[in-house]
Amino acid sequence: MNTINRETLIKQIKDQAKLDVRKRRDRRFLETMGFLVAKGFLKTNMRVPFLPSQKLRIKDAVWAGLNVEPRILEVLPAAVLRLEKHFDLDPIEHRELAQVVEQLRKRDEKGEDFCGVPFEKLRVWAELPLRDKRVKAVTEKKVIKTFRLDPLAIERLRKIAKEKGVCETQALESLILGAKLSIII
Amino acid sequence: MSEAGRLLQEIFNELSLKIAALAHERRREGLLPIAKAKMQLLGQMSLLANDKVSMILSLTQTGDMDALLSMDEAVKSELKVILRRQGLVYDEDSYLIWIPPQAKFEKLFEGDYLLVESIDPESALVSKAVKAPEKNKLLIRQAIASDEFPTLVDRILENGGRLEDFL
Repeated sequence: MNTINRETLIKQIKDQAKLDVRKRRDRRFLETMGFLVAKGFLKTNMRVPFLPSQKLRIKDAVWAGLNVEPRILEVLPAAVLRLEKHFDLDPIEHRELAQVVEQLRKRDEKGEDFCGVPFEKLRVWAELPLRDKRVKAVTEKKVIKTFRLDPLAIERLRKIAKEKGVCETQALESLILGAKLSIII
Repeated sequence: MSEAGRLLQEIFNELSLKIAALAHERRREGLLPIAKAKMQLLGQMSLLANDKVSMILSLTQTGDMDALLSMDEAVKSELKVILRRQGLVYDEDSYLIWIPPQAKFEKLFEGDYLLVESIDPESALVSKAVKAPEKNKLLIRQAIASDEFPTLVDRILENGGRLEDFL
């Protein structure tokens, strides 16, 4: 590389770096980072507001990821999955993201990349314990199921729960998880 | 000390205690003694843990820890448990990270059973600039603009990187 070209490029890089300072002050970046850092998805040395209750627009978070900090895009699907009330995910408008979130929810082995981030990388953040202990990993989130059971089975479940000193849900879980697979099949 | 530095100290202290307990158990059972564990920090965490660099560059990290490990499997398992409790995960692909020529490792922590080193900041930046320029565009721009890494540009170019990638 000749010297003039190199010096020109370095000057252009420095000019871009000045514009980057402005991007890091953008509301979209600060709100997205403030939320993701508060919840424990990201760590940073930057001074960002602590915003654990922030509601985020997907559009803003994606902008921040594409234009300032690509690591936002790496954790965004997991954040949307685990904290859906904080996001305005629309399955039509945000089709790609919604698809990945669904694959994470179902704990698929393989899935779609998101903004160039491989699915295997996205999946890690769905299962990691976070700073905010109230935020459950996808492997810990309870799922509602409705069953019609024989009255005798209900009575038995109630007695087992009482004997063990736990609620019926816990009694049922321990019976299922403790049972041998061949018996269930 | 930076927050990342404090977190790492906490991790290293806890790991040292675990290794000491393992070593004690092995001695008691007449088993082979446990070798001193070694960890070489790479990547974003190595930059965050450096107080001087942390003052110059805007750094963000997901929960992965990139490090080369030279340790007993039992110690590695303990490390992963400790990391998980801190919301971190050991990146098993760390061995794939390219370490540029002239990289140095600086001691970060040393105890009886554990030695931790960290790659020098400029080499961490060269690695990011050459192997993952798109992901680290703003970081490398900031590093070049800071004038605090005197041979950064030369090393990027010597190792096949392109300055055009940072425009």
